[in-house]
Parts: sequence; C-alpha cells; structure tokens
Amino acid sequence: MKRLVVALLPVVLLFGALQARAELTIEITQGVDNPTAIAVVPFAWAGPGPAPEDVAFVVDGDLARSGQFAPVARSDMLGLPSTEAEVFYRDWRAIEAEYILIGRVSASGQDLRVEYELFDVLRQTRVHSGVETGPISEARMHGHRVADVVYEKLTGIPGAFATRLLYVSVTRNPGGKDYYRLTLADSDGARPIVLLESREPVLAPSWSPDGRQIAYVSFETSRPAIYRQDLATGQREQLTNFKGLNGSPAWSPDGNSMAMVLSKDGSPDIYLMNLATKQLTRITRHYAIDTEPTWMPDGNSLMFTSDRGGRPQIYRYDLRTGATERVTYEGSYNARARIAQDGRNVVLVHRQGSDYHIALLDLVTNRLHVLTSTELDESPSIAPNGSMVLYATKSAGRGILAAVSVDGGVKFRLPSREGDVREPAWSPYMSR
Amino acid sequence: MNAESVYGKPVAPRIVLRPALATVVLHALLIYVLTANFGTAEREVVRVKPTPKAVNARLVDISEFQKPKPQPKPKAKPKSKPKASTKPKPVAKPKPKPQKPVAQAKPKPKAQPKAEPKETAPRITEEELAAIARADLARAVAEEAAEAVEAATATADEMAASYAALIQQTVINYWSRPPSARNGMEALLAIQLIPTGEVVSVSVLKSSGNSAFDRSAINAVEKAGSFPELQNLPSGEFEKTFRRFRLLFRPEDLRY
Repeated sequence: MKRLVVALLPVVLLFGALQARAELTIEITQGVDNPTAIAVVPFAWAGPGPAPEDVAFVVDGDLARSGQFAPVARSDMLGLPSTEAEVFYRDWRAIEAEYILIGRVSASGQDLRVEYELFDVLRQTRVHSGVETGPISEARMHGHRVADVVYEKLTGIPGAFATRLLYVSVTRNPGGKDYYRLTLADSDGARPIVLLESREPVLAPSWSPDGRQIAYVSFETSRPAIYRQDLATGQREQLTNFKGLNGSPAWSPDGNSMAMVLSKDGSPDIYLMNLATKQLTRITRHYAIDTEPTWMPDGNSLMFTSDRGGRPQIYRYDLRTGATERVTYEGSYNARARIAQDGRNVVLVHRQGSDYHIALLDLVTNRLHVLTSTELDESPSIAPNGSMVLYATKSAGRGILAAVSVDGGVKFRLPSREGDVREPAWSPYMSR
Repeated sequence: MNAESVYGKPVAPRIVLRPALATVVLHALLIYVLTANFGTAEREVVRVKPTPKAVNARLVDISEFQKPKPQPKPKAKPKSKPKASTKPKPVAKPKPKPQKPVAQAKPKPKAQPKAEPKETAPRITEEELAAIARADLARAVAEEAAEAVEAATATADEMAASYAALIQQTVINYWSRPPSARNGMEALLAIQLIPTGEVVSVSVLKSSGNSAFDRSAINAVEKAGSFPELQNLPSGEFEKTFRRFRLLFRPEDLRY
C-alpha cells in the first residue's frame, strides 16, 4: 500500500494543489491511438438498373488503407440505413462502431449525385453532411472525395484519396524489345490508363503543381529527352534534346520552371529551365554527379543527390544565396529525396547494410526513421497530405508498388496486373 | 563450480538440460540483455532479441521490478564485460538473424517458457491489457480504500487521489488521438458523474482548436462510459470530488 501511495504521490500532490480550487482536474498525457472504428453503410441507389459503382466500397477501402480507420465489415451491420431516421445508434454502439457513414446515390442525365452523412455514434450527433456531383464515369472519384472529407473531419488532416498516381510498367518481351507503359491510375491503383506506350525506356514521371500536366523522360528517339504532356488534351512537347543525359524533370512549385539533370557540359549537373522562354540556368557546377533534383515547397531551394563527398548523399541548394549544404549524414547512401508539403519531412532511399530502404528524415529534429523492411526499395513519392509514401519494391522477383505511412505503422501493396511496375509519382491535389 | 563454468566461458549446450543451471543461464542472459542495453556499442546485438512488446503497455506494480533487481546487479557487471568484448562484432555485422551464436540462441527458447509463467502471461491483446491494468488498479484502489477505512491513516485526499488515478488510467486506455494531434495541444473537458460512476455529461470547457482532437478526447470519456469503482467511495467524497471534475487532455508522448 505504501508503494502505491508513493507511486501516486504526483497525483496526490496535484490533487492537493488543486484543493485550493473548486474542481479536480485530471491530466491525460498519454493515449493508445487505435484505428477509429467506422461503419460505411452501402449507399442507397435511386436510379434505373444496377448502381454504376459501389461508392461506399470505394470510401471503405480508402479509409481502411489509411490505417487510421478500421471499417466495420458489412456482414456485421445490423441494418443498412440510408437516412438519418433509419439510424439506430444502439445497433452501431453494439458493434462498437464509433462513426457511421450513410449515403444516397442518384443519377440525373450523365451526372451522378452522392449525398452522404457522417454520424458520431457515441454522442449520437451528425458530424457532417455533404454532396458530390459529377459525371457518372467519375463515380469512383466521387467516392474518393467523400473519403477525403470524412478523413479530414475525423483526423484533422486533409485526405489525399482523390488524387492520381503515375507509374511506369514494363512488360518483358522475350526475344524482342520490352514494352514500357506510362500509366495513370486512381490513388488506390484502380482504373489504370496508359498515357504512353513505347518500345524504348520511359523514366522519371513527375507532376506539374496543378496536376494538369506531367513530365517524363522518354528514349523513343533512341536518346533520352524530356517531354511534357497535357493530361486533358494529350498534347506533348519535347523540352530537351541535349547530348548525353537528359533526366529527372522536377516542376517548380510555382509551375514556371523545371529543374532537370543534363550532362551536356560534362558531368551530370542540375539545371533550371524557364518553361516560357526555354532558357536554361545552370545550378550546380561540380565534377561529381549531381542528380535527382526536388523542390522545397516554398520554391526557394532544391534538394538533390550528389556523390561529391564520395558517397551519394542529399544536398540542398539555396536559390537565393547560391549556397549548397549537405543534408544527410546518417549512413553511406542516401538518395532520391522527395519533400512533403510541410517542408519538414523528407523521404529518401537509405542503404542499411546491403539493403535499400525507404526512410523519412525529419528536417527539424534531424532524425532519420527507416520506414520499410524490404530489401530493394526505391523511388519514394509522398502523398500531397504528407501521410503516406508510395515506393517501388520487389516481390517474388517482380517490381511492384507499395505504400507505407509516414510513421511506418501502415503498409500495403498496390495491385498490379503484370510486368514490372516502377517509378511511382503521387499527384498533387487535383484541381477540379 | 556452477558459477565458474557459467561466468568463465561461453555456456555449453548440455547445461540447458539441467533446470537449475538453465535458470542461472537465463538470469545471466537477462542481465546481459539489460546491461548491454545501456552500452552504446551494442545496439545491434540487443535489437536481435525479441523483447516482449506487451510489457510497454501493461501497468505493473513497482514491486515486481524491485524484487529481482538487487540480487542480479552485482553479478551483472563482471558478466557482461567479457561477453561484450568478444561478441558484438560477429553478431552485429553479418545479417543479424541467422547467425546468432549457438550458446546464446539455444537457451532462449527452452529456458524462457519455463521461467515466464511466473511473471507474464502469454500474448494478450491490447484490450485485455487495458482490462487487466484497470482491474489491477481497481483492486489496488479497493484494497487501499479498505485499509484506509480501517487504519484511518490514509487521508481523504489520498483516497480521492487513488480514484483520480484510476480514472486517469482508464481514460488513457481509451484515448485514440488523430494524426493531427501534436504534443502540447490542450483540451479541457468538464465531466459529470452520478454515484454509480456513470458518465452523464461531457462538455468542452476549453477547445484545443482542433476539432478532431477535441472529439477524440470526448470519445475517450464516452468510450470509458462509467467508472463503477467509484461506488466504493463514501458518498461524501463522491459529492465533494467526483460529481463534477475536469479532464485536461495534453499529449506528451507523440512524435511531434
């Protein structure tokens, strides 16, 4: 008993101190952080024939993949309400759902209308209600948008489900040339659309900051060249055709210029191209290899990989002062950085022993957290809300895409049909 | 003789078969693990061993730790040093898992199941742990309350503090913070109970400014639902302290 008293002494003291005041205040400074249980009830369909898409299923999948939510299985639901009047909180509390999402989907002409309502089961109140409308062909995107809103309401962070992924898939062709396909897909890997098919390598896809255009390197003229392409019109423009390396295009946050790697003047160096005038500015000038440029979100500096110190490490170039500083010190290999929108978290490829992992560098604490445990992880790309990192890895000898949360706690793989998948690029928030 | 063979040289495999020696070996290993933990050079070695994760979450009476400690400590130092100088390199450098030295690897699986039942139960889910922690604390609190009445040494304040700690631990076990939560955020809630310990009202006195954070705090209390242990409290105490009280949610254990 004495021990207990000693153990609780701080509480006793706190309590004693509070005696002067009228009410006891108990401090809660720790928690357990389990995923939130949410029931995403199948949305009611009011229209002719079968529903064009199971929108609730898309929402359910998005929330589950985030790792922040533990959706309730449909088979456990004691009812399938689609209006507030049909919601019996007791039923949902019985299956320990903390939140319930219901919705109604209807069609008018070519448009789909998704109405949805989010309820707090414990407090028996409505948290949010909203409507998404748009073309029927974009039904999955409506689901992603609903998931974005729910995610933001319940986590305090904007969702990034209504975004797109770019990646390159390679289909091996024994006895002939391989097929390279530049592919666009939903953030969950569904609905892949081939943007470019080539018998020559396609590399380094990247997004314009408004998500309307993409840039990539294609060897279709048998030499590497940087192209940009408008997603809506499909119109293409060849930006570079220099001798040697033309690689790693990276759009500036203001969309006006593009950082790239050229070796036209000797060793690979970082250059900036003004996209309106096509004028080039040389950024780095070093006999070592400088490559893989990426922008800080404020547009004032660039990070890049350089082996100027003997081993590949990340460096930062300040465009205002022209100063270069080394960023990574932990380990003998850190490369291909991508920076989160908060300007604080940097994801990169980090070598540990003979394995290549995805790691997160916190620029404030300067701590490096290794996020993955697979052996050959590469090409990290961070979601626009900074919550997940997409990367390429190998599974059973095949290139696949996988994702990990920035705290390392959640991991999942994206489905891919065939061939090797590599070089994922997560889009920014898409303007509608 | 036992002591010499164990401390002088690497442990021979046959020793494992003898329970008494196995116990000594296990202790030695435990000491080694504990002490090696503090050495900076040996992180890799230590990481190899699967330390039971559950221990982090379980609320344990301090006495459990206090008893075994004094006896192993003096042994620990001479033991760990010779090992430390020979082992770390071969273990740390090659791939950590397959190449564990035989002497080290063998006793572990065999000895552990024998020794463990005394102290820790096998794998328990988080909820069960929470329940156990809660039950443990409740029992302790109840015992203490009973003693307090008899002995009349414990003051009312101490008793109330015990129940406050119980409420605190219960709410901690139900508090799941959103990813936007940051260390130092503060939400102050006003709680009302009835004498059965049931929560009848939760309201926000001071918002953190982050609605997801506020909601997580409210839900932690709602999920706890009631603190039936408070029924053991004399009604005067209940009225004075727990009819209305406040909960301050201020995370300190987050990464940011």
